[in-house]
Amino acid sequence: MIWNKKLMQSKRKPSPILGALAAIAVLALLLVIYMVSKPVPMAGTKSITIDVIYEDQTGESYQISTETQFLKEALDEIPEITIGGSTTEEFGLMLDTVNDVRADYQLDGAYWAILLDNEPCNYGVSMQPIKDGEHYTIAYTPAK
Amino acid sequence: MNNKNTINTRELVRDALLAALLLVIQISLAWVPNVELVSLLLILYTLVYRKHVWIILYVFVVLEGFFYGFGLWWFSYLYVWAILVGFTFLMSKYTVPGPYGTALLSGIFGLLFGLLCAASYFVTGGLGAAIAWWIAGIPFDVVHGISNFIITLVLFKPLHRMLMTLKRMEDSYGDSSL
Repeated sequence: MIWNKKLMQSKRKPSPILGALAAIAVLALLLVIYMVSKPVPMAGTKSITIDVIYEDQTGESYQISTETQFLKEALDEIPEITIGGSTTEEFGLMLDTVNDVRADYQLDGAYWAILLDNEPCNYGVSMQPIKDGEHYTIAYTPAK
Repeated sequence: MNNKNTINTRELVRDALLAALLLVIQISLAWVPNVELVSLLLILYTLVYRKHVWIILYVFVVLEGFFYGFGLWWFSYLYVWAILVGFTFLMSKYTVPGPYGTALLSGIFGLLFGLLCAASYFVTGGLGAAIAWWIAGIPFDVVHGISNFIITLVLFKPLHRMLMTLKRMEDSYGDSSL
């Protein structure tokens, strides 16, 4: 008991101000990074091309002129394309089906990759900002 | 005399029960995005049950995998909660943890949760994907950090007192290792 008391006394009391400053600094840094790096959509009319490539490498191509700002909104404006999947508040729509073809990572061992000029997009369909003249590919991709 | 390196039946049952409690509380709060009690409970388990927290933590992580499926997020759970436990051990070594200090620890952990989880996305999708994934989730990390801070500040003291009382009662039953 005495040993415990001595141990407790030997421990320093943490500085509340230092802790609070650390937390505020982390919070501020996060907000700055978010404001600087968040995807910025483009206003005005954009013409984009969207290719859908299926498992057997056959595909369909769509062109659209749209006022929308994100890829999902543009996809919603194309009546020939139907998309589905699960939606999270954090990351938006996670594509599972395109034109009734399912690529579910858990069930099929495959996913729908979203490519911009043949490079993987950094954002999902809901958060991918579109710009005039861009070429997107939604490709059935087996998991490695 | 109980060997410090062995685990007796009572401890095993208690650890399993605390892991199950962690899972049930996580699931019951899953509908509120990024508001959770797991951080607070892991801090408390670390302070009260010391090294037993590792058993509780990894039973919880495996149960999470069985419940939600072993997706990419699950691999980040293998290390992300361990970081919180590690910092709680460090904190308790050098200071006397109170509501304010643990609330700050829990808050900062919540703020950095996305960044810590992004490491597993770096392995699979590369740096660009990991950074984009982290940045997209920053508003939710902010909610996570602030809610962790408030929850820990409010609940730390009563829950710590309750767990310490239970621990003392358990200890008073004496050694019953099989």
